[in-house]
Amino acid sequence: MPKSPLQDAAAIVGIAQSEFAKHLEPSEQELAAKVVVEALFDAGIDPSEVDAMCSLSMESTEEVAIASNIGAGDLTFFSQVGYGGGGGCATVGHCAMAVATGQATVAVAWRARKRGSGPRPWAKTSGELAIPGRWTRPFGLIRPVDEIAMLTRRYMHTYGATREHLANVAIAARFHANRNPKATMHDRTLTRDEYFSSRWISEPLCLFDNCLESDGAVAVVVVSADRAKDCRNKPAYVHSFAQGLPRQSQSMVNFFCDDPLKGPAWACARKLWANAEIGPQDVDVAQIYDAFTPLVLLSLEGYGFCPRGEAGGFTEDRNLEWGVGRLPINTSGGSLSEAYVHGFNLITEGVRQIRSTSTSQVEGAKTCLVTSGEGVPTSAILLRG
Amino acid sequence: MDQSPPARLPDRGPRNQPPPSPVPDRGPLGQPPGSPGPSTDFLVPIVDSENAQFWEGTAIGELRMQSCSNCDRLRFPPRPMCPYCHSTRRSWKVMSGHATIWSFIVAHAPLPPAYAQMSPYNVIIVSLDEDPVLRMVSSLLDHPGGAVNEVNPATIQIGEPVKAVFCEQAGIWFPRFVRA
Repeated sequence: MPKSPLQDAAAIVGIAQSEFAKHLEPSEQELAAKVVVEALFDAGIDPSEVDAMCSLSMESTEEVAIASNIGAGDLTFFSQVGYGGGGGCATVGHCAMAVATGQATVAVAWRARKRGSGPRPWAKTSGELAIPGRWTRPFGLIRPVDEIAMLTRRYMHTYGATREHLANVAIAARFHANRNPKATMHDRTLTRDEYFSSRWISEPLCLFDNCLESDGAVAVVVVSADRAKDCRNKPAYVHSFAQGLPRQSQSMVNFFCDDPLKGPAWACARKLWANAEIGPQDVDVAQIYDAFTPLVLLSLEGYGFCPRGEAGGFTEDRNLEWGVGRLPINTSGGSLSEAYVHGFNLITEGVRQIRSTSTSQVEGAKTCLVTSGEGVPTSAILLRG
Repeated sequence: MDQSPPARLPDRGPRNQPPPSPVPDRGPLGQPPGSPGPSTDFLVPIVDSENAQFWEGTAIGELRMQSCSNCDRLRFPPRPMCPYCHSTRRSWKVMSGHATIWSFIVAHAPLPPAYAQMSPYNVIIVSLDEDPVLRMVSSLLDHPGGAVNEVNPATIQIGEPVKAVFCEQAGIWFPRFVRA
């Protein structure tokens, strides 16, 4: 099979993140502009050189705002990716395609969100419902957690997974957050007893199956492989990139296709591995989108780390934890325990693993998989040192 | 943060009073698409030309599914084109209402206030007997006209046979299910 023209053709060379907290004073635009500039400084590139931008379609700070704040030059590529948390890795992938094809030379992707301070998006009971939501929300299936709980119950019934397995995911994320001084939950441990005595949110999911509600911003800088050699920090090459929107799937309410437990991760993974020289067995460390703990189980199967239905068992014996397990995941604490910024902090942590600067550094890590939201049209990048 | 009353046991009495809020100014049937709706306590289905016959059916006690007039395949949610044969000729067929529970949740606060008052309540997904891939989100009731929080969640089982019933809420007839 011919090599993908995108393979190792671009690299993340700059990363930055704001403080993460329940509440930050600056506006989303200010937070976004600051992290974009800091990421460019991290790369050693002047903001005037930026000529490409990519963000989520739900991003409130648009390209024109970022460009006018940072003093960018003429932009020749800009795009937005839909489907919320499914689009994070795709923003990097679109940047990589832009610089690899010569449409641009310096690309930035960012996410700034004051979710901790703002209202919960699902709390609104007026206005138009998206079309699939018209068949679910009026019946009381209102929040993202309800939608994922529905898949979780079916998954547990079908494969015999248990809440112990979900707890393994939450505890691994918290263990890594406890090692990361910048994580929101750095100072708070999570025991198995605390997990099982926490309140229900949407059975079978409890409080600790849910990500944090955070204010924060994250940015990354992407340039071509040639340019990357001249940058200040070690490049994290985008070895492979893919998006996935499988047949008949819906966003979040993915109940209407033939096999709802085989979600977008499967379609994304097929292309991701097809475009890569390596397979899941070669991945040293992974950052798996974890807005809810069961998304990690579904993703582990979709990306091929274990056979279908066996992700529960894969989490056992601290297999997801740094220093112990075969596949440490979410080594900064992830969405569950570092911050929820639609998975962009998973991307920066993936880069830190390649740079060997993580607070839970996997010794000699050369490859890191980063995934975006499962249960929605999704994306993933495979980073390589 | 949590505006709900303390969690209550699921064996309390029925709650089937009409919602305290007035029906929205724009009727849920035939409302103009795209116009921002007034604030309501409950989320109401949005009726458009593609799904109107579904809601007309529930109002007369029929559970209808969209059907391709060319290849006869059923599909849900409704849409203009058949994904199998690409025909846009479409009609509606009346289902038996028999189904099995595919999955379920029990929602607890925090929720929008009207829903928090009913919580914990169940939400189920059923697979229709006519084609198990036809899945619908709904509620399991103890009896026709019952409330969404009467069934003891500990008794709900995936695979249970259920039967459609139709209950009015905020001027809309919702398809819900009782044990068959």
